[in-house]
Parts: sequence; structure tokens; C-alpha cells
Amino acid sequence: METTPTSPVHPSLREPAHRVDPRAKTLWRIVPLIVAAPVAIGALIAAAFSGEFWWIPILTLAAAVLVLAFFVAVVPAWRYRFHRWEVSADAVYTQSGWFNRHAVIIPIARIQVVDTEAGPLEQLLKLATVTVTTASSAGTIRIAGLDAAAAAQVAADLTIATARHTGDAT
Amino acid sequence: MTQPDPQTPRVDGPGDWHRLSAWMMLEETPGRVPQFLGVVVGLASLFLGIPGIVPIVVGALAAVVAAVPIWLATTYQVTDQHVRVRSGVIRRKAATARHDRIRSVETTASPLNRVLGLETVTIRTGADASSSAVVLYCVRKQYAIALRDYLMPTGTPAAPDTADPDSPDNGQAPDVAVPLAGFEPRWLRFAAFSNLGFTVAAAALMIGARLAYEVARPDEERSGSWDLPSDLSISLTVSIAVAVIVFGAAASVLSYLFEFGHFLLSRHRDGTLRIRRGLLTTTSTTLDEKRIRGIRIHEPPLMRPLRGARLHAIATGADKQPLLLPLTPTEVVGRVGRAVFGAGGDAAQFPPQHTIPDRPGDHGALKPHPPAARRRRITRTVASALAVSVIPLIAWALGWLPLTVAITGLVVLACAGAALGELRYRNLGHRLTDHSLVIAPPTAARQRYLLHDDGIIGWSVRASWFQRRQGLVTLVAASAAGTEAYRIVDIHGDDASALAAEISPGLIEPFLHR
Repeated sequence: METTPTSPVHPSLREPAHRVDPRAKTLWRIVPLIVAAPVAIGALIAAAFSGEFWWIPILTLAAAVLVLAFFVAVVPAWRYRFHRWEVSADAVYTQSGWFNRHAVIIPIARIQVVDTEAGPLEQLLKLATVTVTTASSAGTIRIAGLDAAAAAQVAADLTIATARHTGDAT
Repeated sequence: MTQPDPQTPRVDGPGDWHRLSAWMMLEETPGRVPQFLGVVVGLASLFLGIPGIVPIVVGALAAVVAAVPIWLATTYQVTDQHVRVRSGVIRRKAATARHDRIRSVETTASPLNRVLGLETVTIRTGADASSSAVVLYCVRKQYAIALRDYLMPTGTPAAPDTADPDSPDNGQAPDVAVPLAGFEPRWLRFAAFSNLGFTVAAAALMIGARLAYEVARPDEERSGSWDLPSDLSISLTVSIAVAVIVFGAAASVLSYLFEFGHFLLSRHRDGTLRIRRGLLTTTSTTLDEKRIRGIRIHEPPLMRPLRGARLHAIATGADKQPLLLPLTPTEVVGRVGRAVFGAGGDAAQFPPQHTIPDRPGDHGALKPHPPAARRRRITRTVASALAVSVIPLIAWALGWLPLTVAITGLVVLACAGAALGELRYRNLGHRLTDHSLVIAPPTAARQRYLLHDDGIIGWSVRASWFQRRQGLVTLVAASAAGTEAYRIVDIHGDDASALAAEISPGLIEPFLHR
């Protein structure tokens, strides 16, 4: 049984029970690399063409590499530690984020739509994201980085649980 | 049309379609194409050299002729389940509203419509304002009233025969309205001062620019090529500034009068609130009380000494923050707020005159937020003020301003920022009552959001890195009504959990650390 440490966001509220799939860390590492690649190429081309000011693009490139290293080495571990989710009999509870932290609790009775989606990277890693919406825009839950099969199972369970409650969920 | 039955309007079969009144061609048409065409034709004939008022007449005729196909193409029907409007000459559109999806019905009458006895009915459905409304232009007034009573509310109205047979109003018309607030001339004093901030700022800018010009160029001769107010004397500038303020106030009063003259807010036995307003163009909005989940009181900073505030309802449906009262005296706002919010509200919350810190035992006051919240508010406003103070520094760097003026500007801005931050902290607070949550956001205006416990769907907690360092979080109550997210900014984490657990115990309890 996983230990449930006291959450740093709200001391008396415990953390949700489950973590996301460890492959999510790979996903969170690949995205900054994809973003950084055109920046690096652009900087190198600019350096080749700037003549005596070659050090400006190179300096920018160095800064970008530092930022990239941060997002690849440090942030995914923080994210993995903090991204958690839990589905109880009556509610869904998740927390996410790494710099700004965000926790949401919504009752299953108020769920309106349950969505599962996976972009190309996620499909490659066999991951998926479950999005749960309610009548309130502040009551939207997104669980990213779940294993695709687990995500389908969660979505199916939620859909069945929601069908047990009637009303227009406002 | 035949005179409609006052209980229900004529209910159409699936094949019956009706035209709107022919006067629609003179009045509104969606897209304003005929009016545009009329203007184009009139201008064209003007340029062709046709003299006199003929271009105007030709333009007007063109507008009317262009409106004929629109009038011919627009038809509507009201069945027992739907209201449908078919319109469009080139692209056919069909707008449908199902009875049980209707959230609000609004009737509007321009001065011409009022003379002709017509009204325009706007029916709104759906959960957000972006869903389109079904509009019936220029229908007869009695029909509009009957249609509105037929469509609203969506629940079953209290039938007159189930009323207590001994009650004195059995035998009157079934729809007895209880007026909650009506227009009073003393409301106009708020209008006079409502845009005072802008006009005074404009006047001050004018005078300041004139004086700055004097200070910056004391030796230069007045030359005609410099076309700023160099030819105006200072006294003239001041008189113009005063005129701007007076004119601004007068325009504001007139606009308030035209928009809210004959204002009447009433409660009807069928469970709706009706707001009628307007001097020349009358608008009547019907709001289903079952959709109301709370109220919002807004007291702008300029209205504090005048004791005026606005009242909005927090509701689900198409219009999420319908206006219940414009700028009115706070005791009217308090009375109506209490009446609308119902027994679940805490009467001690009205009017919003209670300040922080509270006196011990003062039931009406709000719970203040921790001192770290004050630091955060002041830091944020001073940071923005310093960002703005870059402007005088740039002006100094470019040689337009002496260094002393730039430094003074920076200091003044920083102090103003700190004062604003302190004011925002003073206005920040929250309170939990038996059935509702009162939230006062950190704004310069004094605002209160009163949310009924039933209106809160779920909870969300946000903590930025800066907040985490100070042990603060922002608790967000998620609701289907109003702005859908009501934030209690900068409170301690365990206070947040405790608050959420008290309002929604069934939801939060299983997740508390035991």
C-alpha cells in the first residue's frame, strides 16, 4: 500500500492515492527537447551569419541549453512526484503541476463529460489523458500520463458511475 | 392575429408558420443590411449630383425595399414544445428553442415600437452566453406578454386553485407581482458621480499638460506654428477642464435616466423575477428564481462616500450574472439582496459596510486573511507601479523631463501602489454562515459574493511557488453559476481544507488526513 504523505499544498488534506505511469516522465522529457531543437538550429544559423556578433546567438544558445537541462533533468521528477489521482465511490480527486500546484475535487454526480485522448507522442509511449468536465469550468479535471489501458478503464468506470446519478448536473 | 388567450398564447401545430409585423421593416433587422444599403444608395445619389432632400428620400426608400425580402423570409411558430424562427434570404437559418431549455425571456420596445404597440422578444437557452438566442422582432405587445408568461418559468407555476381559499388575494389575477425595488429620483446622484474618476482624470491631464508646457518652456515665445494649447491661457484651460467634468456628469445622469428610468424589480408568484427598465426603449427581463445560486454586491470606490452599490444575481443558464439593481443606495441593495437570497442568506451581511478588522462579537464582519496576504498584495501592486514608473525614467533618459521630476514620479507611483495594495488587503476576506459562503475579493472596489452552499459543485486549491513559500493557498469554489470559479485568495492551507470540509463534508471528508 502506497504511503500517503501529508500534501505540502494543504496539510490536513491528504494526497490522492495513485501516481501516474512512470513513462510519463519520458513524455515530459521529450517535449522540451522537441521545442529546443528549432531554437538551437536557429541560433547556430544566426551565429554563422552574424560575423563579429557571433557571441550573441551562442550566448542565447547556452542559456537555452541550461533551461533545457533544467526541464529535462529536474522538472519531470518533480512532476511525477506531485501528479496524483484518485477515484473514490463518490468523487474524483487529482493534483498536478510543478511550479504552480493545482488540486481539484469534484463529485461524480456532477460529471458531464468523460474524455480520453492521446496525442502522437502519447500514443508512441502508450499513454493517454483523461479529461473530466462538469458544469463548472473550474471543476475540470485532467489526468495526464496515464497508461492507455488504465486510462480507458478509468474512463469506463467513471462513465458507469456517472450514469447512476441523474439530473442535469448543474 | 386573434386576441391571444391570457393564459397561453396561440399554440401552433407543426405546419403553422406566422409572419412578424410588417413594421419590422422600419425597425430592427438582423445584420442591419437594409439600413446599410439605404445609406449607400443615399450617398451614391448625393455624389451623382441630385440636389435637395431627394438623396435622403431615395436612401430611405431603398432601405425599406431592401427590408421587404427579409420580412417575407422570416417566419416563426410556437408549438407546445418548441419556439422556432426561420429567417434569412440568401442563407436560410432555423433557430429552435426547446421549452425546457429556456433560461430567460427578454422583451424590448424601442420608442417607435412603443407607439405602435409592438415588442421584440429574445429567448435565451443553453448554458452559456455564446449559444444563440431566438429573437422574434416586432410582435404585438399582448402576444409578447402572453408568450413570456407561457414560456417562463420552466417549472410548474403555482396554480391559483391550490391557493388557500381564505386568502385575500384569491380571486385576483393569478400573477400577483410583489415589487421589490422601483426607480427613485435620488438614485440619480450616483449617476452624477459614477464617471467622476474619468472626467477628473481627463481634466487633470489637460491642466497638467498645460502647466508642464509652461514649466518646460518658460522663455519661448508663443508661436503660431506650435498648435498645442499654447494660444490658450491657463484660465481658459481650467474652465474647459471644469466644463468637461460638468458635461461628463450631465451626460452620465442622462444616460442613467434613459437606461434605468421607470425601473421596477418585482417578484411574481410563478417563481420569476422581472426587471423592467428604460425611459425611451423599454426592456423587460424575466429571470427564473430557481436558477439563482447567489448574489454579488459591487460598491465602486467612488460610491463609498455616497453609499451606493450594484446588485447582480449569480445564476445558472444563459445570463450568468443578471443585473438586479443598477447603482442604488446600499439599503435598497441590502433589502433586495436579503429578499432574493432567501432564508439561506445571512442577513447580517447586508449592507457591505463592515470593515476589517472586526470588533469582537460583530456578526457582520468578515474573517481577515493572514498578514502574509497583505505582503503579497502590496508586493504585487508595487511591482506593477515600478513597471509603470519606467515611463518617467525613459522620459528623463530622452531629456524630456528633469531627473527630479522622474524620481518624484517614481516615488509617487510606488506610494500609490503600496496604498492600493493595502486597500486591496483591507477589502479581502471571507465568511462562512449556516447555508452560504461570503467571499470578498482583493479589489479596490468593495465586493461581496454570497454563494449558497447548494451552488457549489466542487473545490479546487491552487498554490503558486510564491504562495507556497508563505504557506498560503487560493481556494476556488467551483459553481455552475456566475463566473463559475469563486476564489478565496491567500489563506492558510489547513483553513482552506477546513472551509471546504465544512461546506461539502460528504465530498471532502474521505480525503482528509486522519
